[in-house]
Amino acid sequence: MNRTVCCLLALLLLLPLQGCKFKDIDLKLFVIAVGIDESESNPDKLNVTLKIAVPQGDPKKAEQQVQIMTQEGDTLAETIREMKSRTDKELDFGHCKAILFGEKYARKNILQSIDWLMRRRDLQLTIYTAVAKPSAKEVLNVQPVTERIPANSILLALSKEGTESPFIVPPAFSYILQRRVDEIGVDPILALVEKKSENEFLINKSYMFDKSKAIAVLEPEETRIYNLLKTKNLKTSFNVDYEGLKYAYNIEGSRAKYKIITPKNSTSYIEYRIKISAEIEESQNGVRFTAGLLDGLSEAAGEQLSERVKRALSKIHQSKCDPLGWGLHYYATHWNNSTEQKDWEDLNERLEFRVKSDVKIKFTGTIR
Amino acid sequence: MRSSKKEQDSLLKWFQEKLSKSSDVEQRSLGNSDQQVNLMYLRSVSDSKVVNQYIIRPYYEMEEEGVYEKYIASFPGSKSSQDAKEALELLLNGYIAIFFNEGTLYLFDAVRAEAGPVAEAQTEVIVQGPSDSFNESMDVNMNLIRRRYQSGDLKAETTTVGHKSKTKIAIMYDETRVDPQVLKELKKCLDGINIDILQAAAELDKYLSGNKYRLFPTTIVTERPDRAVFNISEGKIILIVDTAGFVVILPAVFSDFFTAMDDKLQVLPVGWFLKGIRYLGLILTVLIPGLYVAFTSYNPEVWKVQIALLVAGSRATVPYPSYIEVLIMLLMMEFLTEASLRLPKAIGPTATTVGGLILGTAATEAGLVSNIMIILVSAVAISNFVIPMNMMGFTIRVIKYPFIFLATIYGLLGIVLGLVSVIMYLSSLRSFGQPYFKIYALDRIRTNKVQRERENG
Repeated sequence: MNRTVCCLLALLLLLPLQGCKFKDIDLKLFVIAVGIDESESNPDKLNVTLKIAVPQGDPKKAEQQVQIMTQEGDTLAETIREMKSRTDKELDFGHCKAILFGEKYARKNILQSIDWLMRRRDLQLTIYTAVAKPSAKEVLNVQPVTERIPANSILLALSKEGTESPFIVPPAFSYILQRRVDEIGVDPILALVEKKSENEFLINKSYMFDKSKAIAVLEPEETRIYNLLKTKNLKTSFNVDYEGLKYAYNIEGSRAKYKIITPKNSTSYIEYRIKISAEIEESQNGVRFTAGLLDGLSEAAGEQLSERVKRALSKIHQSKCDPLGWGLHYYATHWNNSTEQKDWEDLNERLEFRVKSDVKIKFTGTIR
Repeated sequence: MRSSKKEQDSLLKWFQEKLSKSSDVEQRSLGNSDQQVNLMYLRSVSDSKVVNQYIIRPYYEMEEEGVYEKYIASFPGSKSSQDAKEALELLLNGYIAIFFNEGTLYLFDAVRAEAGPVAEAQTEVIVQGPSDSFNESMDVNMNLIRRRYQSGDLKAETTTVGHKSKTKIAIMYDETRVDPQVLKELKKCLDGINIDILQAAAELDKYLSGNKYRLFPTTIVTERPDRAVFNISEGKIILIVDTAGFVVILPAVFSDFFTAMDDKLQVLPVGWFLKGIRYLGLILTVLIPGLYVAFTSYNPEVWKVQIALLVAGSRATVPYPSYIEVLIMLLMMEFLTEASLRLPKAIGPTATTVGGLILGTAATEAGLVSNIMIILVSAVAISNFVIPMNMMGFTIRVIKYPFIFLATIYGLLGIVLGLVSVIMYLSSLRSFGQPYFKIYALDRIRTNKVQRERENG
């Protein structure tokens, strides 16, 4: 008897712990993506766009319905509260998967939205973040024909679950973004989603940030180099000119590592070593491949790649952003709390890059 | 029992008095007036063929009564009874009371046991392996076990339970392997049973385990001799209930209820797989309804967005909150199971057809129940039947409702709460002093090793 009473009491005390109110799934509207822009009329205000998925009763029908809502306001929180009075159902952010910052907004300051992202309890920390051009609203309005679930195509592209394009930087989850904003020595980099037409978008550039605002765009080629340096075994191909003919090789495996070398009495430099094993994917004029030709190609490819990487690195360096985290690397290996930061800043002023690419084209891609 | 003729007459009178209103009493006198042998038996329980062949005919073939008495006494089934009460009991059981002139009372075993032949197991079907099952006769059942366990260590003690039914119960165990503590406790339990009628083994199980409100079965009730024998070899005790057709195995642990006798026949990885499937079925059937309520009403973000939208879409027409929807469908399913169980075989399929086709499809088309719900309910029902022991299956059928309740009030937290409490409850259970929730396989390896060492010297 006593035990039963205790159990009931415990259940009663647990009641406030249940979290959300009992609200069935059909009384909720799922926000899939949020776009944040600067207001056109008033630069101090925000323009928030929500992409809301409307559930479809019949799963056999492919058509999908989307509601897009835009509202202006001072803060994100307030704007979203205001939007709630425009819908018949409760807005649920539990399935929100992407936050897009409009280009104009990103160039100003994104700290406010990151703060909102981190604090709101129902937003997951694995939200994809990206910069949208010309504005988040317009990109959210894009309706690709291949899309079956609202806003799914943008998620698939950003997460690389769908397409595995080498021109898309690794997913910048909101927790990664927050971490890179807080951490000294590494800066955020976000993919740039551009609207191409009413039903097509393009993601092949990326935006480098200095903590709070977007600074410079990395062109497709540079984005790909960034990916090559950042990720292992990047799936891509590179062109190579050799003896007046054009070839293309496909990367089978790639690895890049670097060292910050600070010699006494001369300028310090970062030495990148890139190791690639590859196969020929395309050649001009039906050349006959021999071992000698492959060797020559490999050498040429290595040289040409080194040049490209060097160009990209110096562009990244000139932008004063540090998306590759050299600073963090330096702090970690030169531990001296009082001076390490200043040391790095001095050193970073006149940094040089040396790149050694070791491309080995091993296969011809065909069976003979 | 030596007594004078007078006493013999009074004993006969006493018997007649006791059985005065029974029309099936047969009383016959053999021989002439001074040399008389009186027979008394119940036509309904004694075999009259035996009476004719072994009692009446030999009497007239023999010259002297003394020889005849010796002849009767020489039968393995005959007894010279000690007191009248016991004699009456035996008489009611199917024995023939033979009153000799000198006042001796013999009781001759002529029990006509109506037991069917050894049939195939019905409730625990397996694919390969021995298929015979216990039947209603205790002797046949003991025979089935003895044949499979030919060891002098196998002991069989008998006792009776029930003031009126006097149901015979045999306790069988391997003397060298049994836990004496358990045996002692069992005997204490059996002595403590205070009922009039015992008809089934499962009933006995209820009285043995003590706590009236316990949820899980703590003894196994089986109809498979191979399971009984396997358990005897593991040091367990078998209770054979006469007239029952099922035997009780104790003590039981939780994992016993998820063992089918096929498991030992299968190739090892296949056996593991099948066992894994059963536990998976257990988890699914218990948790699916609760999780559905928790996920549709509290935590839709746990789902993938595709499923969330699908569920939201298919629930759009449903007028009731999720827990009512789940309850309606689950209760319907329970009705369906009960109905198809109770219906006579000839009209049994009607229930399935009506329930499956009309309820399932029409309910979704009418928009009363979501499509997903139908899938879940079928999954729950099917995975429930994966559990090989029926007793456990029934328990599991009940267990899922508290989970729905907890999910309705506390969401996912409630499910976790429920799981924790179920595990706590299972760990607190004891089956004849043995922990119910222990992992038996490990224990078995250990005891087998000790056993072998003991046997080898």
